Amino acid sequence: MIATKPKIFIERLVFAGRRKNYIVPFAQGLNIIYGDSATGKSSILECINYLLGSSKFIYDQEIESSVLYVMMQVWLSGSAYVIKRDIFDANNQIEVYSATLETMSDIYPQKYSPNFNKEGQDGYFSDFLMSALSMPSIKIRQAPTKDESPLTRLSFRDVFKFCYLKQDDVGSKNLLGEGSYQGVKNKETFKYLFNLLDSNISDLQVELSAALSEQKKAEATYRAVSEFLRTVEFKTEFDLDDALRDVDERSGVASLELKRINSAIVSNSESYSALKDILNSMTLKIAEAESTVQECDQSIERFVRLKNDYHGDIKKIKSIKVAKQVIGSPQLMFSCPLCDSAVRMDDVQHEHEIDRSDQMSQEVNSLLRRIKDLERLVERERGKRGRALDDLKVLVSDRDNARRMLDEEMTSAITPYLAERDAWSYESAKIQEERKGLERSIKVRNQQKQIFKDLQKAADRILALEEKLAAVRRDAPSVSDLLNEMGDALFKFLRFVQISELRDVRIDERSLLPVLRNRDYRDTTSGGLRTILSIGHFLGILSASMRRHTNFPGLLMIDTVGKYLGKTNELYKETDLAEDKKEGVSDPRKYANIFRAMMELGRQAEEFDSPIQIIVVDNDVPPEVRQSYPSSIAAYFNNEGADGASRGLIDDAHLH
Amino acid sequence: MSSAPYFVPDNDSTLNSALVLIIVSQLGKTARARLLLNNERLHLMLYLLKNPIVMNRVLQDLGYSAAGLDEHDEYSVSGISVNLDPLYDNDQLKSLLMRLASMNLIGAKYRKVEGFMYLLTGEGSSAEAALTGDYFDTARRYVGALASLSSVSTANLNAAVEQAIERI
Repeated sequence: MIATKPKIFIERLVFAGRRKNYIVPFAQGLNIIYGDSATGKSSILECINYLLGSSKFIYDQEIESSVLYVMMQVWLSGSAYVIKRDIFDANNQIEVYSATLETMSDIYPQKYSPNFNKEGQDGYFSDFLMSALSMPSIKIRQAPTKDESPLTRLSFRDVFKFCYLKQDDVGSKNLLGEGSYQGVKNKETFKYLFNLLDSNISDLQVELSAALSEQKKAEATYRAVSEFLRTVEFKTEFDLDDALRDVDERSGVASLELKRINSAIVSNSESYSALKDILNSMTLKIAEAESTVQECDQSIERFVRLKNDYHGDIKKIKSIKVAKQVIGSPQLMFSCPLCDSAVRMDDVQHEHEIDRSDQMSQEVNSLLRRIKDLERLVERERGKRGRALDDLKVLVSDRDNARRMLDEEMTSAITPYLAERDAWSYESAKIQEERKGLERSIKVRNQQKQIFKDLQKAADRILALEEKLAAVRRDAPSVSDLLNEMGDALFKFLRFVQISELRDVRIDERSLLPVLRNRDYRDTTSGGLRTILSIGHFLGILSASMRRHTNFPGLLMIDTVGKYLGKTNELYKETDLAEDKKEGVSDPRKYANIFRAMMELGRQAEEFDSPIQIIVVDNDVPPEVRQSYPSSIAAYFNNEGADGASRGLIDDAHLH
Repeated sequence: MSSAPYFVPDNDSTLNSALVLIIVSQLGKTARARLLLNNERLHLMLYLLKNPIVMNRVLQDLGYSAAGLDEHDEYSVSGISVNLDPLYDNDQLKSLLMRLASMNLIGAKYRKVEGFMYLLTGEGSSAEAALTGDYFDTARRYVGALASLSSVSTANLNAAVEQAIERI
């Protein structure tokens, strides 16, 4: 039976984070998430909605700073999938792995476009979901009453409107878009869900033939791929697994060996650093000696040059003596050599002359003394230079020795390991390469398996469609039958919740919405009553899907059950408080009864062997529900983290 | 001029007078008795004689062979620090010439354009011959090298000296 019914079962929701992953697990039946406001409760439902293809995911700052992307392990009509989606760019393709979270890394994902604007690598996400859930994909008339009306595609998003009662929609007068164009489409979707559309049978036939041709295509692909792999003698799955294990073992050995060699090299090179220190200090000393030699050279040059100047001066002084004897002293008066007129020497005489000869010999002696001094100085500098050069010679030879020792040390310490190390490094690199190759091969093998799985799924789908076709033909459901059944279910629900003055309860044929006391849902003034009616209606759809052949995927998410029931915030003003009081909607027993009704539905589903999943978010939960059904609590968040409760979805945000 | 209590032998007027005698004796006239030294040229020659490093550079720059320098001239402090003052001090030469003239050791002739041209008198020639010793021998050797510059015009010589000084 299961195969013939579309079923969504969400098993695990993962917010893949920067620091860690935040995981919310879910079970079959009722799942309750409750806690203080602003702890990320609604984000959980929004995220599921987003992973099932909604156009945007409104996340709060904590998620933005902590989460990289989101994933969900979900069972679609009995097959496990992981759906992965980028939270920052809603237009990025959605990745779907036909695997669980544990095995997803072994295969390549399919990539689907989240909307109909541009086709993704493997098509549209909506088409994938419809096909995975064996839901016929059809087009419906925009204006159902007119035969020539243009057709519009019915997408998974249209169906999902019946699976998700958002906080804004609970008890809202515009439930399911009543009174708008969207409401028209929703009504068509409702008929589609329950196979009430006139075109249901013919659509199913079209769907079936499409599925058959797809199956043929998949078969051909599988044959071709298998043939190819056989031809190129591709290793079998088992061989690949064995090879991988072998490679991993060898890789472990190689890394151990490398570690051992590295530590041996380190311990052996301790004497190396001591030698290195010695060498450094020697190099410093050599530089010192070299600069001493240079300084000596400069001093020697200066002294010798000066000495030569003195020698020159002595020569000049001696020559002055000779010149004096030859030239003598000038006349005071003499006649001009040209015109013979008298010239007085005084007019021009201002000259330098070294007069007395004893002064001159004193000068010569002093110069000679100075030359001697200089010669001594030069001698001293030469001695200093010579010593510095000797030192230098010793130092340079010491340094060369140290260098040689260092080289030898290095050679003896490291060389023996080099060859070994090279060999192991090479081995390790080779193993890594081999492993990569094996991983690729395994992915190829898995891909082949995937094709086979697709083939089986196609067969299942065909079977399901055939069964459904038969069932639709046999049951030929009528609208009034269904609405009567749902009206009865709603009546039972309202009685269970203990609504007073129960009369004229039904589902209206025109609006397809509840009617109580002959008053349309839209005209009910008590918001609390509308909340109860809207929840009852959605539960009614879920319940009907358990008993019939429908296209409803057996999942219901409700955000804030207690809305208008004297519990929720003042944001929502679409209610008449006096009416609410008259109806007694804030009676905690009624509130608790709603939860009980949901629990009961879960139990019935098990009886019908048609499992359902209800995920409910609220600020609070009736204490008796908490106590009687503790396993139905999927998550509880407390702002203060009191009693060991998690502080929120992103439970480590306060630490950062 | 200087009354400082030390000698600067290089500036001694007797010594310089003797050098002027040697210069005029060897460079004063051509073989055909044409006078060559006016004030400016005599000044240049005296400067080059007393700064042998500059002298050799000028000779080499102008394509003549350099004189072999005395060790004391080549490797000395004065050899690496050129004193430019005497090159622009005309008074010193003037006083030397006047002194030599007063003792009738030097004669002069006036020629238009070039001005006074100098030559030795008979007494001057014998005085020059009496100048003996290492220093004067070296000086004569340097002046002999300067003789190859006789065909270079004074203007070109001036330029060459300036260039040579710039490079030291």
